[in-house]
Amino acid sequence: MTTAAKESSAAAPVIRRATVRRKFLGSAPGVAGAIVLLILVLVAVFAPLIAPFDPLERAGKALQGPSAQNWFGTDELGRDLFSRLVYGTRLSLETAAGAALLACAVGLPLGVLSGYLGGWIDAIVMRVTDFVLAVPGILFALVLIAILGSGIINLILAIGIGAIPAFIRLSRASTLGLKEREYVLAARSMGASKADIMARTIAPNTMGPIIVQIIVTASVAILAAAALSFIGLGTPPPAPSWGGMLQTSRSFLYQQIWYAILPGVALAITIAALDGVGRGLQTALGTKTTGRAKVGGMG
Amino acid sequence: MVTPVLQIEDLAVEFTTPEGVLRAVDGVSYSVDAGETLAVVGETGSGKSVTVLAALGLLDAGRIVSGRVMFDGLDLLRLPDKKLRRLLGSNLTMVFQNPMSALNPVMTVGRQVAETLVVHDRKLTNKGARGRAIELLALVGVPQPDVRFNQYPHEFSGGMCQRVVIAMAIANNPRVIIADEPTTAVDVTVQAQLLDLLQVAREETGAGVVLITHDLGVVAEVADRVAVMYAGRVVETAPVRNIFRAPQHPYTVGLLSCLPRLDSTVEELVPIPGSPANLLIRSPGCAFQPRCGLSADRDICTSDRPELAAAAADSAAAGSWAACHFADETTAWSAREHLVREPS
Repeated sequence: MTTAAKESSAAAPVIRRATVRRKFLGSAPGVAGAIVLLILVLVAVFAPLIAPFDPLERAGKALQGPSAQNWFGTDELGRDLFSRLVYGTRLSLETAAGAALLACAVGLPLGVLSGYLGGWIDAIVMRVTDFVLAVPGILFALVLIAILGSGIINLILAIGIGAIPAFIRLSRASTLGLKEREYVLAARSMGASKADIMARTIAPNTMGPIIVQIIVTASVAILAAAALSFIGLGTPPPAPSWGGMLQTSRSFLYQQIWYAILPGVALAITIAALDGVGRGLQTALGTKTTGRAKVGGMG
Repeated sequence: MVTPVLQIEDLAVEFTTPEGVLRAVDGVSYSVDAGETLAVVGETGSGKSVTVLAALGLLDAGRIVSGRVMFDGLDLLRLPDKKLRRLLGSNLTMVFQNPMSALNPVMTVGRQVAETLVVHDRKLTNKGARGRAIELLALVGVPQPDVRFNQYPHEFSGGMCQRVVIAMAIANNPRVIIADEPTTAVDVTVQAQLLDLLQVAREETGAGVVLITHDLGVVAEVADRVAVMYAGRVVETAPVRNIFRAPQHPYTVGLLSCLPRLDSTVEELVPIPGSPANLLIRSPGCAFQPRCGLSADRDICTSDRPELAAAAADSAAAGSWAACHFADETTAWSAREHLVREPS
């Protein structure tokens, strides 16, 4: 197979499953991030089994420090902080996955369509994209929530819609390159329709950078959700959102310092894990361009 | 006389470039019969590929100015998109130059073969398509086809990829197979195997094969008839024997004289002087004239464009057609210049 590998690397950068796995496993941030992320997902999925108390009910005296009963202490209403953090993981990951998948589900087809067909479709899609990109992400989400009202679904919509343009740009750029490939011409010579070619030939080939973008969007979404909850526009109380906890904890910094620190630590761990996975994937998929993955606040 | 399965008539294609309008294909006509291999030869940029891409409606950039492409009583150039698509991949198929890039890298090889079957036969079940695809892979000489079915193109060598592409091309019993330099990108050892395979494919399906190549060795091996293209025109068309024994166009002579041969004692290869014609400049005369040794600056070569004309029936070149004002002088001229060697 050595000759095959040589020829194919000369012909086109193709995604090889075995190589991707090997490279990902060779990337320290990737492996560490993936392990932490896996733990977080398990925590989110099995939250009812892990949390010792109902996150919305009283579980002890208010504003207690860590103890054997309340591991991370309690908040101002006597709710168990550990349980709230565990359920908060669920909220955070739901928002992240929802927003990233929504953005991908809308952005990827639009980008492929725009890049492959060109013409007036491309012009319209790109102008709308420019418009959305011109508004800072967090402001865009603020406006949408102001219109739609708060709640987790609206939070996902607001963050997800703001993240669509990145997916459009990315898949459109890939499509422009891919449509000149010989296998697209070959598919056309086999009688494939435009829809066939876009859905079966081009879209699957854009997945490399798109997967990385999903991870980046997920971490941006978690931060944005926390920020919006912090200013009271995310998931409304009493939902145990990390951002909401940070916001309330400000008033009780002197009584219960853990109340403020722990949600922040949870956020930091999650973002770092996603960042690690994103970097590992970039290395593995060969989509890495410069040093750091772009992870940060929206806008 | 057999009716041809594919007939290209007076096809002209233009590209608009920043430097002006470029006529890449300039009134090309050729046809291929069922069960016949027509080799189309010529230098890079002579319009070989553009002609077939235009004929099958696969050209994105260029503009088809004139011509007809007749298949089964239908003019492909005037067929609605949907009807043309139904013919492509079933009746008319293509094999491309670079096998490593002609397959979709993210889809298993087997599924790609199966899909060409399903696209043109909606009644076929997945299981049926899989079985037939494995048969096809076996037919084109892919070892362990049931294992290879689930592999990706990068797990195949170039030659194996081309076998898969050929399997896809013959999957739906085509009547015309167009192979665009199918052996250029593979090793010489594999080249011979692929050419044999193309012959097998032709015999299996009874299709007419249009083989585009710039390799006269390939031509000698598999072609029945040859069309030589220069600057977007067919300058000579002849049975393969005539091309090597009695070329009628000075350009064909030029191509042959820069080909090394084992059966000749002449050591020196003679390149064609000058460089390929600039397609942006359209002269009223013969496009090859500036590079032609036979022309010797005769006026008619620069003023009148020669059309294809049949060689005399009693000459060695009977059956050949050449677009040269002085085709009848070519044999004597090339002998005088020692350009074409008789086998020793």
